[in-house]
Amino acid sequence: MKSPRVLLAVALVIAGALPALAQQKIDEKRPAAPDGVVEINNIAGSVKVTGWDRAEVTVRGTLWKNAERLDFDVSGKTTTIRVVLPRHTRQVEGSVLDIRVPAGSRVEFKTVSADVGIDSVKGNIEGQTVSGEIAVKGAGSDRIRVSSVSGNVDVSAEAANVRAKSVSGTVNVRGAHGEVDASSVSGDVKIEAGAIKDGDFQTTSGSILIKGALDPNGRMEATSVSGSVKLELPASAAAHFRLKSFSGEITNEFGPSATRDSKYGPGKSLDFTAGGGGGASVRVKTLSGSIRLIKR
Amino acid sequence: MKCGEVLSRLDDYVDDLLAPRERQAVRTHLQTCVACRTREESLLALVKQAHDLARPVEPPSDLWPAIAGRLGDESVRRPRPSRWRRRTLPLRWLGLAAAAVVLVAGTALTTAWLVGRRTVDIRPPAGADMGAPMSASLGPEGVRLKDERRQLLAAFQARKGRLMPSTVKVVEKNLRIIDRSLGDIETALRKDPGNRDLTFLLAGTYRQELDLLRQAVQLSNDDWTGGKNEKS
Repeated sequence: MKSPRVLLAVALVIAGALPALAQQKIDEKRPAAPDGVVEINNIAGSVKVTGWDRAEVTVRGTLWKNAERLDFDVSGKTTTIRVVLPRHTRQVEGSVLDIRVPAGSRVEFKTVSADVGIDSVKGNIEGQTVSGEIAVKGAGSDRIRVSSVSGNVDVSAEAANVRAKSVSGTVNVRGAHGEVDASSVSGDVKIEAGAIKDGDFQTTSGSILIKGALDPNGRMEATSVSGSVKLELPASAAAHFRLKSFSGEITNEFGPSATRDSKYGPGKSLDFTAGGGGGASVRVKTLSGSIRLIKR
Repeated sequence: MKCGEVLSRLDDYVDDLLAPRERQAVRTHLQTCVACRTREESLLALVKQAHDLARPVEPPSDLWPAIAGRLGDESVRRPRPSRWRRRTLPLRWLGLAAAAVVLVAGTALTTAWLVGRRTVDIRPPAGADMGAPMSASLGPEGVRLKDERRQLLAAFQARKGRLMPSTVKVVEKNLRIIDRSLGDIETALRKDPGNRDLTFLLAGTYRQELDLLRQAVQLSNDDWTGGKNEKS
């Protein structure tokens, strides 16, 4: 009776060890310029990038067995980290990369299904995924440009210039000021920003929610075809508002009610100034989505 | 002012909705930036097109005498027609009636095309069945969008086999969402042809479609292998 049990135990140990055998551990580092460029490519799995105060890039993690190799090269001020697949790859398993970069680096990434998390990077950030999620926590990046096809995009950064896009995922932008451009086709767009100087928000069928303050001379425009648009602004918001919808309802807590503006269609519009106006401008357009202007 | 700031204010600039200081800043930039000026010209053309479309299309009041003259309204000039002419009069009247029908039908069709239907079907290349017809209401901007869309649709259809099926599914699903939305905007425009906001919404939605197609085509070009492009 003992032999089968021993055999079973050995089999279980081997089975348990197989995934580990299928992976290659990575633990490498290269010197890097404090203000260089770090390019990252990983088709599947995850990528975590963290800024630090050392002049070197490190890569730790696991490379799955079906990956051909990891390219980790430095050329001038550019560091390239790339998971290379063999030709005719049909099945891709995820590689997990935990990367540290000089905080002042510019980070550029591209993945297919790998999720991407970026934290404490002060340089510009630019990248895209197909189905992966993107989460950027900024530490003073001037410019952030990120997009996903079906994944959610989440940017929490006091960046001056943010462009975040998804096709079907939700786009969240928090803390940004200055220029903010966020869009999704069927996903929702949610903005919780500081004082926006120049905001463009667009969806086709997803809803748009904007919470925040307006720069005294700011400009904000939100358009959706069938998605609803909701703006939650401080009661003291001073701006000129132009809200228009072809067939959606318009609700306004800041002033007058919408009126019909076309003898041909059911279109409604609202054109008014709140809080003395100032130089700020808010424009919202929808086809059938409702528009709500709410006091916070 | 930078290009991005100017472009984001261009709608308001064209609509004369900017504050004087901002308006001056945009104007100054436009005087020196060819790219932004080109966008401004496209927008102005789009606005003009929308404005023109808002007007009812009627035949000029002096059109009929000219046509009648060319057809030879000799009954006016010759008070007493000859026997031969009397025999041919019905034919002449028939011709005039036919001309009138052609004129009325032509005017009606023109009006319907400009004010009502206002769409021109751009047949996608073979195999490219995604995407809505490009509206003629977008004027010169529409021509540019149309060309780019046709190329991108062809490229997407030709290369979508290189994308993962799940990606193709997402792209095609969202193209359908955009197409439905474009159809809804076109329907609204037929009800309210002079609505400039709808025209802008239409242009913006077409741009979003192009953006999606561009992204899909770019993804299909990505090389994840040590050698040439392979299916990822």
